[in-house]
Amino acid sequence: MTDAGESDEALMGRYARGDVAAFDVLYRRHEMRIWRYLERNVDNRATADELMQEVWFAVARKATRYEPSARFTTWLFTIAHNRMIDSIRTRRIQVSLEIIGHEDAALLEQLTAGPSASPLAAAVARDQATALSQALEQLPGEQRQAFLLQVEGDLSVEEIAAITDSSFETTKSRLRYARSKLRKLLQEYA
Amino acid sequence: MTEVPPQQDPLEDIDEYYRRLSALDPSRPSGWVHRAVLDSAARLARERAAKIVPVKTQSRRTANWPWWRPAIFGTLAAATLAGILIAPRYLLERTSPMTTPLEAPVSHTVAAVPPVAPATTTDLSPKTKSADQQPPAPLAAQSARAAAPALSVVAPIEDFAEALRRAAAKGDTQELRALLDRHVDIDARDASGRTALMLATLQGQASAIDQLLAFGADPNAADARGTTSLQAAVSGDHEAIAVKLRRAGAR
Repeated sequence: MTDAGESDEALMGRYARGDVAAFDVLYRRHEMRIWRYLERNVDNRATADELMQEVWFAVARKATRYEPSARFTTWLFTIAHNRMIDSIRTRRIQVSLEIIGHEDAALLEQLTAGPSASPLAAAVARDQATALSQALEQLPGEQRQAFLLQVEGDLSVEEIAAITDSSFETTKSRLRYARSKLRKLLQEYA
Repeated sequence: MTEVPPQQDPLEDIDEYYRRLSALDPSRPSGWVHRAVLDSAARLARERAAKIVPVKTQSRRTANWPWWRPAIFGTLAAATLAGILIAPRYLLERTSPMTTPLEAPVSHTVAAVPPVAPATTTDLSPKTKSADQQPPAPLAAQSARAAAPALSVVAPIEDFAEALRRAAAKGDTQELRALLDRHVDIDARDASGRTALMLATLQGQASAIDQLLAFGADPNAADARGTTSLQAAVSGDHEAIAVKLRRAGAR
């Protein structure tokens, strides 16, 4: 009964009226973008999992009060950004990969390798993903957040400025700086 | 910020390159996250459905007697029109320096309209004399003065949030429901950073907590000292409430 072409706002409306399948469509549609935003900002898989869960719990809880005055993506990334900032500030979540059990570690290995990749292709992909991750890690937090909000959330400079509570000009500067640094850092892999 | 943007930078290619590398990145959230999120979403949907059953029943009954509808809509339209006509007169009168100030306590619910004491001919208090010097207020304006505290345009938004917290602390689910239906900010905080959910938890108001969680209150919100509702429930020995909060995602 779910329509993959339906707008995010319409899906939220359907979920608010009790259609759980609509929520599932929304989750799958935005799962990877939110995941990458969180994981690349906190640089810790377990923390990103926790935050991912919190973000979507919040979306489900607030569904009946959601009013499509702004784009769903903007609203969603605002929640994700705030949760991530809270997590960094309070340092409440201090789970590291070392405490993940053997089963989870095995699952992680399996996911990292990819289901159908050859060993060589998987190694190359892993190297490039690591390079990207390391390059992002070297960016100052505000620049990384602004860049990821734009490339993952497709958000405008105005929207990013509002989410990060910064001025338009500062946000624009951060985006330009971030891109400039990333280009330098990733040059050898290009 | 003193950041100075660098000169001309080819921005587009790095975005494209980022997307290409991201597509190769096999990292994904753990499987349990999806399951936990969907379970929670389904549970919330069930709880909401359970809460609106009486409303649904009433709607069906109303549909069986379609002649009711025009009567209901007509009454509502008349009430709205009367409000629109009366409220500006009341507001103008209220802002006039010569007008007797409104002494009725401000209430935020429609049900709590304060009664208006009828003026007697023997009342010779200075307030009455002062009022006598003014042209007599029309009857409609007097009614509006009594009704005005119930109008949403008069009470500031923060008062509604305060009313919400008070209703939550008292466990007044009817008032809570009325306020939540008006889209009052459910996670609004008082001076100590406490939300309605925290106050309901501190007072052990289980029904209010159910209602607030069903309407999307944040179970992980912390007050100015960093205390969450769950911590308050545990330290207050409200085990049943702690279970409810945990089920709603409190950690």
